[in-house]
Amino acid sequence: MLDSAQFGDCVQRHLNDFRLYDKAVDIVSCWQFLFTEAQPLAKNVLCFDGFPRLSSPSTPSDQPKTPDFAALISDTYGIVGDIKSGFPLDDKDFLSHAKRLLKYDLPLNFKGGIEARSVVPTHHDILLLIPLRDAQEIVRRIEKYRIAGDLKIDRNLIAFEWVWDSDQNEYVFRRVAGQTSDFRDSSLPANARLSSIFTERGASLKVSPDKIKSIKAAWQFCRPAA
Amino acid sequence: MPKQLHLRGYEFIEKWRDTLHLAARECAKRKRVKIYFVSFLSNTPAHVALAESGHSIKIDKKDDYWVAHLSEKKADKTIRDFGIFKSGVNAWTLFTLTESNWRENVLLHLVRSLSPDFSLPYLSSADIRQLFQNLEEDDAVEIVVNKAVAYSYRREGQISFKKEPFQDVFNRAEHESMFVDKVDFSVQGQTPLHAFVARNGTAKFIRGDIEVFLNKILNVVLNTSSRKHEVFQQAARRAGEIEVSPVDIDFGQSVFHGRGDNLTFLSSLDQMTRSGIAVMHENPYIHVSLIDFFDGSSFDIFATNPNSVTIIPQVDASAFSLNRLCNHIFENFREGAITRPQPKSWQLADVLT
Repeated sequence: MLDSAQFGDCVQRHLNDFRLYDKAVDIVSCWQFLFTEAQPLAKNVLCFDGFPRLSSPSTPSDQPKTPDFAALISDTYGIVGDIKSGFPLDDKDFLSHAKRLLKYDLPLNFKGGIEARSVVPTHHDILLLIPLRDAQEIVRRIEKYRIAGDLKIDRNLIAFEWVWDSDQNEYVFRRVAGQTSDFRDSSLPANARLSSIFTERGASLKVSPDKIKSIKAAWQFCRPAA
Repeated sequence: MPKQLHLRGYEFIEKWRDTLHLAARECAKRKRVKIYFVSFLSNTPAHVALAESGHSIKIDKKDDYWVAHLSEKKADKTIRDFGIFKSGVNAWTLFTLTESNWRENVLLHLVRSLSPDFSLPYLSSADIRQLFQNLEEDDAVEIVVNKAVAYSYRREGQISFKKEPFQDVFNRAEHESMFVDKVDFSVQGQTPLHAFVARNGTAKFIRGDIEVFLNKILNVVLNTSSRKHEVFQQAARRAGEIEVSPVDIDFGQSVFHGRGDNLTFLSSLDQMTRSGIAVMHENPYIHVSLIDFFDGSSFDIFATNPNSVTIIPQVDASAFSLNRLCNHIFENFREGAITRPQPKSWQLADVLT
């Protein structure tokens, strides 16, 4: 039997878990809005897959990879998005946490859109979404480990910071400054390239809840059963 | 004049309109007698729904309507005779001659038991006001309210017995953040009428010109309600479809200023009978999932801006349930205008700096 304090802790733990999940749902919905509704980008995206299970053709017997979303832009290019609520302070723990991203650093089967086919794009990038408050430091430390050779990621890793702007009532996403890697999205028309929008122009993505309510009502936000 | 044209059940002749004319004459003769109408929306014909309702009802077919005899199951004693006619595309009206509230309630309870595929017409204060306004403008008459019942959104009732122009009653209710629930009114002009209308669509003809009542009151109530029902039907989401069709309730002013208002709204939703809610978000914006246990319909409800709420019906949610939900919000939080937002096409510029 739980005493009242343990029960209170238990409820609090579940509420915290729910808030974390709920935040992830909102963030995925914002990116789904960008990839599926904002033109001219949306018409150039083959498929957006929220909370997917992606197998790897190179290691088919391994557990499927579970990023927060995957967007297939063309047969040659895709983006895998992963949301992290934070990174540990301790160097060893930080590196081990960062190395979790390596599971996406191999060819992956993306969902291909209308037909139930899967596509392994020639290359894909990894989009890391982190809270604004620690974003700069996290990116700096990741870069440090990559230069030192402790963290070897072949694919491009692009970090975006996000924050809820309570004055404007919207989520704001911005490419974290000081990164060397960028989206390899040359298959997109020039006016729809993320590299041009977020890197060259330095624009921020701003999505209000009003824009994602239909997405939240229409789609399921749980991972399909294995 | 038929012999038994008395309270024990005036004669139901072949056509419903002629029957109502006879009944109206009875109202003119006897002070407390009135014709009571209960209308409702249903895809199933009313006489079929009633016959299948499990109540002890015998139904006879007349020329253009039906007559039902409701009896007590145990005693096999008829407790109410009433007529049923089709009053709109999917609207049905029950009527009976009565002099007591108890007898009226029998019909209303009977209709309410026709779950799940039905809803009452549910008018808003604005709908009733518009009805009076159109009648005054079109027929050059004056409408005086004899008695009105208004409620605050916290269900504190206020009854006014003051005779006054209808605009004053509605203005006062609006000013005091109340909704008008029932109105007993008189139409003063060439064709006088004394009648009653309630937001649940029930109506009473007390005396005057029955044709004015049928054409200018009952018909308008049902048209208003049918138009709303059509909007609700168009909002239904079909199985296998990703596309959703939201319905907005526009309050016409800023009503969500902070967490307190959000909690008030959530608490009002929580009071809906035979329903359950799951709150996904309470602040800074509201996202609630509501299930109506009445017929299994479910809805996602969002409040993402200060002036309105958006209701997104889930797969196979019924128009009847959506009607009940909107009426519940109107009576327990605030009244507003029901609209269907136009689909928008978004550009990158809409989400970039």
